[in-house]
Amino acid sequence: MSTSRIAVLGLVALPAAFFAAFFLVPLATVLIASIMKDGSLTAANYTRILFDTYHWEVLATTFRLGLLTTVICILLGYPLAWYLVRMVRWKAWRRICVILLILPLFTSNIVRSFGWMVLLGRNGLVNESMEGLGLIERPIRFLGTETGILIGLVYILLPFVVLTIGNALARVDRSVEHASADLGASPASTFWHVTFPLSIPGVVSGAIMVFALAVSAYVTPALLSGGRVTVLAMLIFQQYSSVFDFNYGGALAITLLAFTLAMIAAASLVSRLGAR
Amino acid sequence: MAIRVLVRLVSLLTMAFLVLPLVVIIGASLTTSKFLAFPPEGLTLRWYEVVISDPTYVASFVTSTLLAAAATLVALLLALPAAIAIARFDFPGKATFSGILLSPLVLPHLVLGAALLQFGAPLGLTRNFTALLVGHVVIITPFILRTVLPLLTQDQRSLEEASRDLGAGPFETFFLVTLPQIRSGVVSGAIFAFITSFINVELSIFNTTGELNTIPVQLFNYVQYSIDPSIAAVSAATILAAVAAIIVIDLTIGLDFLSDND
Amino acid sequence: MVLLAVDNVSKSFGKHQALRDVSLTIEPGEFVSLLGPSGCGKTTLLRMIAGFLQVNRGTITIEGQDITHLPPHKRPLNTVFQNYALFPHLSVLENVAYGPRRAGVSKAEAASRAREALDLVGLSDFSSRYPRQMSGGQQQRVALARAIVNKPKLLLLDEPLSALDLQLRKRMQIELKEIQEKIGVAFVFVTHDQEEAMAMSDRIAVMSGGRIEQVDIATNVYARPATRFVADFIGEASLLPVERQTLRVLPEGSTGDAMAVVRPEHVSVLASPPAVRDGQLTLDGRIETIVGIGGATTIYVRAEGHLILARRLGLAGSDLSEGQPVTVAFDREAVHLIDGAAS
Repeated sequence: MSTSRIAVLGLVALPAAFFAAFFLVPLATVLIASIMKDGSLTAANYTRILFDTYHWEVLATTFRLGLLTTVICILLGYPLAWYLVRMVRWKAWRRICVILLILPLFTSNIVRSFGWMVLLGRNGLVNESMEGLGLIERPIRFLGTETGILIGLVYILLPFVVLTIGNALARVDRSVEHASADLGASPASTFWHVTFPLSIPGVVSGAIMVFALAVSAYVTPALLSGGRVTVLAMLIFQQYSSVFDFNYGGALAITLLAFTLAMIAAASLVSRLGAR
Repeated sequence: MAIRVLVRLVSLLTMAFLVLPLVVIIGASLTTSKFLAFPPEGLTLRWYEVVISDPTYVASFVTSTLLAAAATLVALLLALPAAIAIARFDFPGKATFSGILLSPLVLPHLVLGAALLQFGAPLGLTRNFTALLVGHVVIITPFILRTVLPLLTQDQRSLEEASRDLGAGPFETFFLVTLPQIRSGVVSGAIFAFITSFINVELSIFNTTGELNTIPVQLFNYVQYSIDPSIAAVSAATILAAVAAIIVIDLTIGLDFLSDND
Repeated sequence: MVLLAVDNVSKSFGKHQALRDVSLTIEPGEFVSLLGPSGCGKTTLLRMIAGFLQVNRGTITIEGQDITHLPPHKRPLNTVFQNYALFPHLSVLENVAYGPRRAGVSKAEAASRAREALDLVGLSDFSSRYPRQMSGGQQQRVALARAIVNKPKLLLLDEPLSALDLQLRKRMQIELKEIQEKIGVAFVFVTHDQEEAMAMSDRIAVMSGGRIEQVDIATNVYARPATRFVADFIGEASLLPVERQTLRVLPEGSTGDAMAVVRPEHVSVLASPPAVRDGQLTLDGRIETIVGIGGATTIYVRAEGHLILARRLGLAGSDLSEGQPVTVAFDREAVHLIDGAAS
């Protein structure tokens, strides 16, 4: 018993100390700063968020973008995951697709957003080809709009959704689908009553991940907004890098953190209910 | 049948959507024009030369590589013992311990970066390599932990016990028996960790300076003020490096995880 | 009228020929086992009857209607899957009600039919549980209830008892047979366990290498095997090359014009030649090994180069010991002849 206790201590000590020092304490520092002002305890930093309509707008924009990104990612990601797992019969092609899917995850947000800056510009490929096809008469402004940011966020987060849903679909036991067909269900009916319900945990965890990453994204909105649209992460960065108000910045950071944690808690609740 | 056609169509368009920006960057990096153009006007490798001969790019490339390598190494030293403790022992606070170590996966990196800046300021732990390093270690340790944990299965216990029974000590047993069993998880976790560190902006941005800069942060700063094809060249280089890394992973451990089990 | 007719069906996977010209008919209410070692094609045949595999050549009909190219959900039969394939996200009642619901039956009616089926398998108290909350034996019953709730004409069972431990398996064999008789549905039962097949089936189709070697009632498959494979696979037997006319046993390594199949319980091992009765065939040999297996003893005798098995009830008599020269004897009537030479 005591040898195993020593073993555990030996294994755990270093990682625990490191994460305490460089993860928990820093977060606690932010939390404490967020409830301090001029050396005394206060809720002023939080009430400032609450009563400032500008910040309400920023929060609304952030969550609108997060929500839309999540919905679009699921709508595009589910068919793609299905296609890759169930429809592609040529293994080499699936391999290429998976590589192309993972490739964006291995490249910086900067690089990926930069690609969209080129594509979505006034004279970018998107506007020029739409004009060329006669779909529009004048170039549409994407950069500096929520639409531009949305495109960038969907692009960056879509692989996560495809991979989580794809994994869930690949894990669905095919004999269960056979059982459904055997009991008289048509392929469509089998999908709605068996396969889709069994893939929901994958959909939910993918959605949560995307939502959490979308509301906390900084690089993509910063690059594609051109300073015209502000999201919460940009506000936090401003406080820390140019306003130097660590107390107010802390309150914003804690707000973002709290929202993210709430989302994750909701997700694990949903998946636990789903697994019941 | 109509649904299958629709799914196929949506999927192929979505794949195109995923590939397009990367193609555009690589294409634009080859242009002979002085401004970004896609399709490129003529083909040249001139912009790559510009990048290679620019000392700030080279310096930040070196910084990024050193940082990612050092952070991965430290993260391995933290994650492997932690994984073994979680998989092989029961101890009070185990759930909290693993929860804390895994949580940087889902927490906003920007918040973490701000927190480290605020925490480090009074200690002088800001805007230097160590400040960057500790932050990167925190965000990449969970990647290794997450890939290694599922591979430490209960049935390896008997192998470890057999090793101990045959006279090997706990460290010998780890290196001779346990590690070979989890090697693929260690390798893939380390690769993901390295890349996550290499491409990070949100965390690094708080602690970088003109002299100490990482590639992605430098790109981020450039892109906001000026856009010329040399930026595309740097980006394209990172894309090609990513392609190489992925092909290496595919050939060594395989990326066939979307295969149908049928 | 024939219920199921499988007519000259062949199937190959790439270069591997899984089934070669298999034909089989099943009468209404019949219990037929497909018995054979793994890889013999029994599961392939079952999956083709169910519709999960496409037939390369040949036809499958049910009550005269060609179902060869019908998708699984349009076939008037149901399956009990090897791993049960219960829907993990549905309760036991919902699992069983799944079939009626897909057939367009109202929710209430489907639930009442499901309860009836669960009642039949003795699980009426478990309807609100989820599959993972149940033991293997209970899951097996749920799978059975789910498969019979739509009152199919034919039920296919793919090694349904293989995951259960021996005790439970024996009990389920009896129970399954009782349920089959009660509902009067024809069963096609895939198994690699010959005792199981013997205990339950009206007829057994013994399969090997993608062919059906013999289809017959259980006692005939044992007593009158059609081929060397069946003789070897079902029970234990000594296979001896003989002259068809005289039944003279030829020494090991020679080829006769027939092969005698002698079951160990028909072989007597005699210490002294005078005990041989008239009309018995005898061979002189030497005891190699004596193995006691509780209620019975198996004696391995080497004679003419052949290893001959004899079985006695009870413990081996004190008259026998290993290495002892003996005479083995068996009645002419106990010999079953099959074609073919020794290999």
